[in-house]
Amino acid sequence: MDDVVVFDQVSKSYGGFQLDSLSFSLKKGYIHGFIGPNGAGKTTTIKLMMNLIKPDTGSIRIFGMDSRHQGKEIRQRIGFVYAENHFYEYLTVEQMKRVIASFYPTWNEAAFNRYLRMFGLPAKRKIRHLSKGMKMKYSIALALSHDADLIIMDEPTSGLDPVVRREILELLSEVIQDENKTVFFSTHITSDLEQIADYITFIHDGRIRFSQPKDEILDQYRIVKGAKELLTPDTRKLFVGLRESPYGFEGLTIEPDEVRRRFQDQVICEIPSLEEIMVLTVKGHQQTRGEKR
Amino acid sequence: MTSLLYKEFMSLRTVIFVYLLGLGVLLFVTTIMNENGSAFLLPVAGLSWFFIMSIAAQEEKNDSHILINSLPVSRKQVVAAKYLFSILAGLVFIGIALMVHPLFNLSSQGTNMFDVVLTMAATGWFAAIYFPMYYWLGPRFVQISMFILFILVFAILPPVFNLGIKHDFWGLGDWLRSASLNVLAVILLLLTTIVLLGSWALSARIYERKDL
Repeated sequence: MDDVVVFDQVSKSYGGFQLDSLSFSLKKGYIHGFIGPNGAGKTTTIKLMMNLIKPDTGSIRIFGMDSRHQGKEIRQRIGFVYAENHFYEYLTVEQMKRVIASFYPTWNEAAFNRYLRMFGLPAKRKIRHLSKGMKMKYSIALALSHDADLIIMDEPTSGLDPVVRREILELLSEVIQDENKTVFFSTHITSDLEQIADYITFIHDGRIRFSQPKDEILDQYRIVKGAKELLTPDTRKLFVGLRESPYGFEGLTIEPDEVRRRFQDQVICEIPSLEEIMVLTVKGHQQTRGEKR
Repeated sequence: MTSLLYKEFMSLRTVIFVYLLGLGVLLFVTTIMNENGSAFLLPVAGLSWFFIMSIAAQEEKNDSHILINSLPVSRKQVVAAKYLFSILAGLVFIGIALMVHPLFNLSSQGTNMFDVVLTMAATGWFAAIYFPMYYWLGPRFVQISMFILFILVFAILPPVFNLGIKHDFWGLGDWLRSASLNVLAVILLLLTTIVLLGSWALSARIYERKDL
């Protein structure tokens, strides 16, 4: 399977924040979800990928090329959707499109017009008069109209209503029907990824906690629910993260067989959602950090 | 590069229009204040300076650096487009001033070519100093320098210039008159070109290293 993007031991100190030895890859032809809480390092990682910031150490290869030295060639094949609006707001949808299109020899006007119609975007309206959802749709329309091989999206669904979010997710599923296209999609709304992602990369505190196929993750992790009395210093070690209440505990484990052997039918094991995996992993790391202090 | 220049034009269309109106007003006022009309190109240089600052400030709105640098262009090209557009705009302002000025000042004897070169050099040198400082120090520099330049252009430069005329520029006028203006113009243009190329290389280096 071809790797479209390869991060190899990439570290970066940026704005008082540290990304620590990131290593992961994106497979060609799949939708990759990039999850993590706010401030985990998602946007910084994407900025590294786009060569907007430079790594302190390590290397990033995209389409087999070095991102630092062949950025122009790489970006020719990337469609980028921003979390924030970076367009010239006083231009109309049509004028801004003309500016962007002039940079791409592969620009597909018919595809762009199709997306405009699909999203109901008025060509003559100024960008500053578009709603947040419309700006995001516009950004997606631009990213998809030059036959990009890799679509990178930074929080494309954040702050959007469920109807628009669903439309965007459906569109991404369509895009991926072409097996040469790859989508990398950062979000903290994990339910979006449960619908469409093939791979999940989870970042927390500037470190990649896992990067693997979604189905494997859901097979590997289990939510365990039981009485608080079952928790001893020894059994606590079985959990990546724990949420305790006066009535019991809820823990995330990657050792479901060992949990069943120890607790047998005293606990309930369930398949977790991505959100539960994210929340309990973050909680587990916070607990570990608290104990170390 | 054409795409980047087109981007500059599209993003600055309204600003260009406002500056052209400003140019008309400046030419009119200069003609009224200066009867022989010899100094009408001086405010054109001042206008070009402000325009150069507008070109830089344009990307600060909505942090459009992110947009531009996610397009298939190198940072060297992004910087080169800023320089090129500044010079082109300066030339257009001078060209329009040369065409429009006789309409305001019918007794005009025509324009000394050296004045044109001097105005071009003033624009080029300003760009050569301004852009590396901007890429190094960022938008805060734009605000501060805009304020300082405003005071300089409207409060300090005109009295200094008038004082200079009164005292024949403290001997500099004699020296300039004794030298061949054509030779001076060529030297000035060459120097400006060298400084601009050096400045572009420096700005590109600073910008290439910058985290956005």
